[in-house]
Amino acid sequence: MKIGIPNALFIRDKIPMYSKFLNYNNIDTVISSDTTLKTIEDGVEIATSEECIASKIFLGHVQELVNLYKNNYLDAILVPRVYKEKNNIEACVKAMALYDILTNIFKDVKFIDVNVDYSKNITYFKSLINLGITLEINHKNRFFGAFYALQEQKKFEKNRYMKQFENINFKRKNVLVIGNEYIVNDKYIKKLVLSSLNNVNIIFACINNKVNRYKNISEQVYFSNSINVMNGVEEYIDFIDACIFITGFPCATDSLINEMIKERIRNIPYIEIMVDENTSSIGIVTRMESFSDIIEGRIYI
Amino acid sequence: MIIVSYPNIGEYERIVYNFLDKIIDKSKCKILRPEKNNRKILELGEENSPTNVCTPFKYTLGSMINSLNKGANVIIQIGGGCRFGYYAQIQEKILKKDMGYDFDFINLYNGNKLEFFKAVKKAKILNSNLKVQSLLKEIYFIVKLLRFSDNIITYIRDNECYIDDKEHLKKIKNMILDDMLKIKTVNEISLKNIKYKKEIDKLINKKDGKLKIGIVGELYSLMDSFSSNFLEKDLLKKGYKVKRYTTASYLLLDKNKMQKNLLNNSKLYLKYKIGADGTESVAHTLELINKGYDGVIHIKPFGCTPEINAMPILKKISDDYSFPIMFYTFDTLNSDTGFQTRVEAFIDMLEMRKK
Repeated sequence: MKIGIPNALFIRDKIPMYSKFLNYNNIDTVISSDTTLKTIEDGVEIATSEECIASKIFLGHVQELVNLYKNNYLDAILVPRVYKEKNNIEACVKAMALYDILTNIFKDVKFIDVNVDYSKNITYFKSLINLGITLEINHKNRFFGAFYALQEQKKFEKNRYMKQFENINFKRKNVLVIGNEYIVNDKYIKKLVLSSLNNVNIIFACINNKVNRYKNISEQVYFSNSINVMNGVEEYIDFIDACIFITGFPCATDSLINEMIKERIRNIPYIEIMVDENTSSIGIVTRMESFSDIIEGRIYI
Repeated sequence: MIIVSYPNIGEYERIVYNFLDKIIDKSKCKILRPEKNNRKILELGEENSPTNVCTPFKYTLGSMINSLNKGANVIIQIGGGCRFGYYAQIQEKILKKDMGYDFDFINLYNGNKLEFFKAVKKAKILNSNLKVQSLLKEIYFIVKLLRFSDNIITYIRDNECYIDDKEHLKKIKNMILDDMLKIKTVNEISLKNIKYKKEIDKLINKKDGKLKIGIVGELYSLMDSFSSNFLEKDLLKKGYKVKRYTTASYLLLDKNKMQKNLLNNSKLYLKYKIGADGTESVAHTLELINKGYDGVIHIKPFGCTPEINAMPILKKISDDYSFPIMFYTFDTLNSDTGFQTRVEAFIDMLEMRKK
């Protein structure tokens, strides 16, 4: 059996966990490839015009997997649905609806859903057990599979966290890049925005590091992606010389937390780059070059 | 002197006024009713809001700025749900730090959670003798008043197309709006309810053949006529039967109970809740199709994620049932002419289909 996993949106952050669970139970996984211009074009064609860029990219990734499914290379596509990740912490509203959106857009494709909802006591562990039940995996294997999958996810998150910290280099200017994980770590967007930023040390802070530092900025945020961005800012604010906030158009949660973040990093050069499917690389290069001039202090007025 | 105000949302500001009027200490406190939403308020909100924020944020911020300019020194904001939970803290920051207003901000929500006892503590600014017991009594009354006004207004809306004596209807509507400000006891509510229903029933003359249109979508656009270019009023004026499910009493009192049923009714298209009112948009559209409506208009402010989630599902429903659904997004730069043209074209199409 082969199951496809879209390498986009909030799912990409949990790929190690889902892959481990499926692989442990002798199910092969096919992860969609990195985002390209074609992925975005495919997504734009399927999406309603007002979808955010992240969901357009997501739909492009799903289209790639659907093509594989139609060529009988895949047996199903996995689409997790997330509502509450912890008590009082919600996933983006988009994450609540992905499964229903896909089943209504793509006809005759088999999607497998996994629901994560702490308000109904469906934790990630329980959701994996439920996935095992759907896939008719026996009791013992689904239990151990879920156990090892969560361990794998923890290991992945810990390694990434350590790697990010190791990245700090005090001999160079440190630039903090914040934003939703699926935007900032998307290879296409990363290349589009950051390729012209030379001679600086880039730190990515978009990980779920499970701390409550975000409360220094605001105690009232409840969307997990906002919390991750704020945790990132709080974690690195003492080491950085500049900050870049990459946001997708029109991201609902980013449109409000950017005000809070701006307030927090008052005395540090800060730029907000908004990307969508029509973003011109020339415009971005111009903005990033002037920003890098500001960071390096080359501007004397 | 304390001058308290709150952001506007449709006619519901009258109920908030009535509630505040009962709990404040009138010797020390005055209520400033917010202006109805208008172009000036929208511009004030737009000028001072973050760029990509949804339109209800701009309306509510504009409404607050307008009240502060008129002398208000206490502002109450209610949040919770979707992005609404973030509104209060950002608006407080914009008004106090960026714009320099000096006032007390009473926020009834902490993020997405209603904090009743904290809210009571804060409300002591308005009346130092305020007790939880009396507050609960007033909340009970206001819930009844909200139910009454929503029920009677919905009853009028459902039957307006069958009423020929529009002048008389207008008088009744004005009396109801007045009562939303003036009624002070639960008994009065029950008496008025019976009285108005009788008066309206006398005016109704049911006929077949009326074009039936449903309006679904985001709550603020649905409940505040200015923010949806007076769509509902226009359709009613033209004599069409208009159905709208979303009301404040539905959202505050019934929504949680109804969610399971709504999901069950739309199980062919939805397995899970899709956020805020998205589930309602889908379930109500299906209900309208079953009830024999001719078309549905789906409205939302720009960037409203739950309603964007509902759109592909509504498109599928539209295809499956060959049922006309028009989508319209409102923002600060709406052209009345463009909007009218689209609505007229949609209605022409519905009329042609009906023939």
